[in-house]
Amino acid sequence: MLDRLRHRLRPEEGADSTRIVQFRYDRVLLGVVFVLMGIGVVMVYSASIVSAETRTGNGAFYLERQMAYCGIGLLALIACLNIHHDLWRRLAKPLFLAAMALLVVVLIPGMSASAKGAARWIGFGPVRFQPSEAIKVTWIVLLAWYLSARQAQLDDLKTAWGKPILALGAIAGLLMLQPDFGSTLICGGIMVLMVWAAGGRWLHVGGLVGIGAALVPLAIIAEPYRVKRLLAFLDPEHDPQGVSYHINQALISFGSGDWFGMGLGNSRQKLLYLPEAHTDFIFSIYGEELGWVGVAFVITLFAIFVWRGFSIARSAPTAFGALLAFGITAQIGFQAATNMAVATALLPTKGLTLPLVSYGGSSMLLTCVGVGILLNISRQEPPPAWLHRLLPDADVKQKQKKARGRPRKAAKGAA
Amino acid sequence: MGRNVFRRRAPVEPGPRKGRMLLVSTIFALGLCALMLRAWDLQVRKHDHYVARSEGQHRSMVTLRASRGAIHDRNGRELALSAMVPSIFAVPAKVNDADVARLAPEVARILDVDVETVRRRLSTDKQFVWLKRHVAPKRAAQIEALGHPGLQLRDEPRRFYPNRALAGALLGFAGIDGAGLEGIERDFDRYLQGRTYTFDAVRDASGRRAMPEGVLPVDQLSGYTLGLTIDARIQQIAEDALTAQVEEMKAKGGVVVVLEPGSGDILALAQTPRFDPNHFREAEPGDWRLRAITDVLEPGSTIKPLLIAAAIDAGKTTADAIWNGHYGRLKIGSKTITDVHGEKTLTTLEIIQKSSNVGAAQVGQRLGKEAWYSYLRAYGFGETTGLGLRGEQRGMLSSPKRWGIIHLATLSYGYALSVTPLQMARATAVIANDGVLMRTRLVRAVVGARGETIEAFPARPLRRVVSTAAARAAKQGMVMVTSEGGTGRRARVPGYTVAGKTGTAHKVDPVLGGYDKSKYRSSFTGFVPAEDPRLVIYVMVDEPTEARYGGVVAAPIFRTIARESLPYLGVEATTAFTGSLDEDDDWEEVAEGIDPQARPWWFEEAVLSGAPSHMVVPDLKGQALAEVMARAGESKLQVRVSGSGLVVSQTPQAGSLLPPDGAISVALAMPGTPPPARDPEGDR
Repeated sequence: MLDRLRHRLRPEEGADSTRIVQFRYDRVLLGVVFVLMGIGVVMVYSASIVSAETRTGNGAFYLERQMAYCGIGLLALIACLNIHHDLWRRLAKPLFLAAMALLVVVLIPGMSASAKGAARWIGFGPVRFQPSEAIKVTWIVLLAWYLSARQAQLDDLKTAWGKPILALGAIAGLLMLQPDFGSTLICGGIMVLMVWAAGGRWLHVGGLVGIGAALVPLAIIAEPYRVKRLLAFLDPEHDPQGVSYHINQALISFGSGDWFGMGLGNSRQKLLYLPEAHTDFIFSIYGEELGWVGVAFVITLFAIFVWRGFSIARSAPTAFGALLAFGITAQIGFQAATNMAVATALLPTKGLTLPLVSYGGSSMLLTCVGVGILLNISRQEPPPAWLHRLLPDADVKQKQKKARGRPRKAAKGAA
Repeated sequence: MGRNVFRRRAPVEPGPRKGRMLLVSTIFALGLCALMLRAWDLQVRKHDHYVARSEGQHRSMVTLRASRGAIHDRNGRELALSAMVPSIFAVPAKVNDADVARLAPEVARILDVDVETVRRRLSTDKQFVWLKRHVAPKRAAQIEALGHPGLQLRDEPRRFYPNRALAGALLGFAGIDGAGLEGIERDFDRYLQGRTYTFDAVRDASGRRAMPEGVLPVDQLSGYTLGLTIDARIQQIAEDALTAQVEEMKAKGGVVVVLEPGSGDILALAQTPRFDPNHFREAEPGDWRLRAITDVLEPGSTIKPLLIAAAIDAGKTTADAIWNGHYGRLKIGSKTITDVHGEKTLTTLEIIQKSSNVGAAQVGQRLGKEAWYSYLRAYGFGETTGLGLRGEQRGMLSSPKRWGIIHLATLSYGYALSVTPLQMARATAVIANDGVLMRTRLVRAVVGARGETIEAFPARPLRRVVSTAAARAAKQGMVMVTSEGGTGRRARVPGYTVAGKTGTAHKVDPVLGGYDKSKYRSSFTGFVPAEDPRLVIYVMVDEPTEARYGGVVAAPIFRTIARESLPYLGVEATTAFTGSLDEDDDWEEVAEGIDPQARPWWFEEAVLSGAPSHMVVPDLKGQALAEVMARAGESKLQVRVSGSGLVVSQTPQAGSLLPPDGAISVALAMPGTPPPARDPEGDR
């Protein structure tokens, strides 16, 4: 179906049979994504049926929504698969600024819908959107754009880290006002990873990571609930009915799985014991119902995802595409690994979803956008001519600007 | 390729460095491997640990407590029964502070409890707290109407005693959680207690249970029905008679025991003051005790027929032997025994009739210490009656080795030993029963939910105490007591021959030791009709102040009980009353015109006065069970109950006439639920 769609959109390339083979997107990756989404839909239903019944009276409440999100996500995926990723490079700055604007909007009391003391959603009537999901993708795009244009100068501390750290500071500031510690960590981690991978110096990376690591305890101490979570993580069985309740329930759930699990739909922890069973802690319920074999299967799927993502990055024709693919893959993989580590108490509780599996519209939509971009990169096509016409290359503009340099500024000043 | 502008513009070192990406991939792969190991560790290695913790919180050993069994009298009339009534509880964790402020006064008003208490209970973060248990359905509906998820209802079985105070001390009571706390409720708890059915249920975090599928045979789990030997009617008669006389005599209290001599069945155990087990907290805990088995007293003269029977049985004397009356004064050792009416001579039976202490002391001396002791043991003194009720006293009967000469004398007329009223009644029953002691029965049978007999307790003789001839001789003496020249004439019942014996005993002064000359226990023990005894009635009135002799204080109670019970039992009057009456006797008007061949007098009386034999059925619809029960208790109605909630239908219909042994069946349903299918009006 996608092939046919592509033929319709690009009839001039459809005529060249060799091109079709060359421009094929990564089907293994897409397959992995489909399987993960399928598991997600089934598990969201299984994990939420009791809480949905209790809260809304409709056991399929979350299932219906998750299926709709998958549909929207697939549409976004198909769209991004067919939009050349170079578009994002040209739109990197405005997209990032728009996402930043949404982060500001979510802080305006009237605009946001808060949950558990954190203002994370913007409500448009019945639709709710989580801007922190959008900032992750646009941040990766921005970094890829920025770094790909300066790959030769990344040895320089100021060039490689100066502006990204400033931007990260702005992001972190807005995110921590929500507060959303998990997304802040993801954005910071992605930045370090991308700058370093693009060629940043080991020394710089080491130093900055050291400073960052020193800041993390401050951020933790600033919020009592983070201290609690950390304590709960360090000694889960200390106060099982209090601060450690969540992680204890997650462990009880996960640990009940054995090799093959209790069987799909047979989780007991979903009987309102485990909070957020269908969102952040879906992996625990999954482990309970499908056991170690099921867990290993999902871990393998994410491993394949990362492997395919990185190989797309390696074979991407442009630095931007490669960095973008690397960033998206790393972000999704990093988030998945973190989520699973949290569910198994290897890391303290963060509030991150399991990409493609957890319930959540914003997360699903933007993960699908990321996957779509990734798949588009995997096609290794040159940007279409209309893109150049529509959006003259930002780098070209910058060069022109540099060439003209002072006279332009002077002229402006004069005016 | 040359056409590919895209590639041409590619930088020298495009994208992330290959080496570093490899490093990231390796770290990521290692991380995922660690995750798999961790998962194995949690899921497989520590599986048992987590499953145990999981079971600990979801599995709950659900204990379904089936409702408590009923207690019936010998005719199947309900003395105690359980029915489901709503109780209100809160889930404070679901009630936030704003709700507490809003709900507390409202809830307190509806449930009629203290506002502060409600507020305090709602302000915790517990998952469960009772607000009020056993509330009227009306109030429950009001609470439900508040519609707050933190306020919930649960149906709980509640114990009702439809006859109110009737046999209250005997029945005892069960606590709010359905455990028997006093009386039969406590001591037969193992039968009455609904069996607990324990099974695994999965429970969600809010405490709700996901029950296993399938209908539970709860009705088969309900407690067994206890069929008592008590006759509610006779119990009522006994209580009323006792209460009236205790009031009249301004006495402290009293006890009545009614037995059926042939079977040893206890027909009534009355006592006063009475207490209503429905409101047991309002009564003095001292009134909870069943005085017929917990109070011990010196039997006094009521023991004399037993002595005479024993002496005749032992061949030490005959019924018509002549004894020296010593003109009412006999010195034994340092003590002088006196009689109220001194006689020159007495026959053996006149010792009973005149209640001669002097005579009894001589009979006792002739019988001897060892023999009298073993007869007393054979009559059942110094041992419990084996009813299975806790707190039953054995009484005090010391070994004959320790009796001095004066002890034998005083033991002969009922001092120096203590007995319970029940022991005295069943010893009297030995005389009535031609010398055979029957096992005393309180419970006839234990019946299961489907009417099957779980355990039966047949009447059975324990032993022969005295010969038939000896018993009959003593009986004759007892008949003389109520005849001309006897002390118990006021026990006479028109139409029947009464055998009895009066007793008046000084009370032991608890402070000074020795006897208190101003405090008495007046008693009467006897049976009727003498020819074929159907009722043994023992009456004891504690500290009467208007009079003191058993023949004056206690005998009239005997008479009232016998007069009202015998026709009820269908015992035909055998003799027309012919004897003359003492001046102060007040039953001339009753005695007049009694014709043994006529229908029992109570039948006429009941029909003429309209109560209680035929009554108009009240309209019970819309009433709560508690109201129905209260009403039933008032008018001594028998009510059969099914369902819970409010009365939706009844048979017979309101306004119809109910025969004396008829019962009303009512069906109850929760408001808002469709009435049961058998209600013809309820179905479309």
